[in-house]
Amino acid sequence: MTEKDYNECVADHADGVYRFILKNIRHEEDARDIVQTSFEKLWKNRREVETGKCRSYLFTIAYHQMIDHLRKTKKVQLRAEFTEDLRIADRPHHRLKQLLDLALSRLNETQRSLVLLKDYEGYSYQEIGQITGLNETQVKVYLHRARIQLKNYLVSVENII
Amino acid sequence: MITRHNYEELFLLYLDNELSPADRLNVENFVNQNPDLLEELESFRQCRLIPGDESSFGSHELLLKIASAGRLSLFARTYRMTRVAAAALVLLIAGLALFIAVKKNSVSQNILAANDLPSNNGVAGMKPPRTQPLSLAQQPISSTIEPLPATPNAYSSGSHALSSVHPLSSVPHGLASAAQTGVAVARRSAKKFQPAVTPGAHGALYLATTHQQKDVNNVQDEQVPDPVLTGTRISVQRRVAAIGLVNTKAPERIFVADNNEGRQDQPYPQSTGSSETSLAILTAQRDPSSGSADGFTEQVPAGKNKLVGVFRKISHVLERTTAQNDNDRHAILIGNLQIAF
Repeated sequence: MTEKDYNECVADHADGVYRFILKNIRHEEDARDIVQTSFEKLWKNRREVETGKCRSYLFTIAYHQMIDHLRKTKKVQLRAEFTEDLRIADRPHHRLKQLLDLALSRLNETQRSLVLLKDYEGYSYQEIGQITGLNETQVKVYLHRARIQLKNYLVSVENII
Repeated sequence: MITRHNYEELFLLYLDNELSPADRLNVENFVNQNPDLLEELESFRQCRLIPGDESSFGSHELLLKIASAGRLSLFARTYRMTRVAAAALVLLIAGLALFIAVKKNSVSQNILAANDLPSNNGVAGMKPPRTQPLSLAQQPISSTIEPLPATPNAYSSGSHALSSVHPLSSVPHGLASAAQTGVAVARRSAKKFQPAVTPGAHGALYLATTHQQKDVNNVQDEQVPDPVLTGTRISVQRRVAAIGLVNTKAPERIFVADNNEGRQDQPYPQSTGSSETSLAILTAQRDPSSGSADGFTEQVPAGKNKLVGVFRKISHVLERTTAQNDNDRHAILIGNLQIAF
C-alpha cells in the first residue's frame, strides 16, 4: 500500500470505522482515539497490507482496539449506560432509529459489533468472522441471537411505538 | 427445506443476504404459502439497523498527517542536525578567533621584544635574549615609515627574487606582525646568522643593516663592513620564499640563502638613507628544470617517520627473540610461542 492508497483509505473508510466504534462505545473522544490508533497501525504496516484489504484490516484493528478499550473501561461504561438508559427512557420514543440504538446498547459487545458490521458496513458472515476472529457459524449464531433480542426489545410492551 | 420449525433462521439469513438465489426463492414461496409469517419477517426486517447515521470522523487531515508526519520528523531531524552543525561552526569560529587573539598577543610581545631589545634585559616579564645581541642590532628600529618604491623582481638571486618591498603601513597586519616576529626571533637566536631554512621553504631572506649613516647608493660591496643582520626569513608560503623586515636606515645588503645555493647576498640599491622599516618579500622564481608541474622545486622535509621507528623496534625485538626450533624444523619460536608451518 502506497501513501496515496493510504490517504484514499482514510478518505473512504475513516467515517465508517468511526461510526462503527462510536456505536459500540458511545463516546466520541474514545472513538476518535481508537480510529486514530487504527490508522496509525495501518500506516505502520502499510507495506504488508494489500490495498484491497485495507478496509477489513482497519475494521479488524479497530474492533480489537475497541474490545481492549471496553475491557479497560467496563465499570465506567456500565455506569454510563445505566444513566443513559434512564435519560432516554424518560423521553417519548418517536423514532424507530432511537429505539434501535437503545436496543443495540443492550446487546453485549460481540453481538453489537456483529450487528453493526452487518447492517452498517454490509460485511458478509465470512468477512465478519475474519474481523472478529470468529468462525462463520459463530457469527451466524451470535448474530441471530442479537436479532432476536432486538426484535423482542422492539416488540415488548414498554417500547411499543 | 424450509419448514415452520426452521423458518426463523432462514428468515434472518434471507434478510442478511446470506442465501443463494434458489434458497431465497424458497423462502419467498414459503412466506407466500404462510402469510401469517409475513408479519414476523417484517418484524425481523425492522430489527435491522438503519444506516442513515451521518456521524463522521470529521477532520481527516488528522489522520492524513500521519503520512506527512514522517516528512515533518525528517525535517525536524534535518533542522536539528543543522542546528548542531551551526553550533559546531560557531564553536569552531570562536576557537579560531581565540587562537588568533592569542597569537596576536604573542606577536605583540615579540614585537615589543624586538623594538625594545636593548632595554628588555631589565624588564620584568620579558624573556631576556638567549645570546648577546650584536651591537648594531641593538639600535632600535625606527618606527618612522617612509614608503619605498616597490621594486618587483628587481633583485634576482639564483632561483629567487626580491619581488617587492612594502612599507609596513600598507601590508596586512598579520603579515607585518609575522615579519616583525621573525626579526625578533632572529635577534634572539642570531648567533651566527646561518641560514636556517625551514624544510620545504624555497629560500630565506636576510636583511642587512649597518649603523653607518651614509648614502648607501654609493657604497660599493667591498666598502661595506660585515653587516649586522637584523632580520630573518619567515617562509610559509610555497611561492613566497621569504619575508622579512628591512630597516632602511642604512641597509646595504640583502642576504639571500636557500637550501641549494647557500648564503648569497644581493645589493640593496635603493635607499632613502632615512630610517625606515619596510617589509621585503622574496619570491621563488620559476625553474623549468625543477621537474615539478608548476616549475617550483618542492623541498620535502626530511623528518623522521615515527612509524618506521616503531617497525624498526619491532623487527629488532623479533630478531632477538626468534629462533628455530631444534626439535621441529618446520616450526619457529618467537619467545615461548611456537609457530608451525
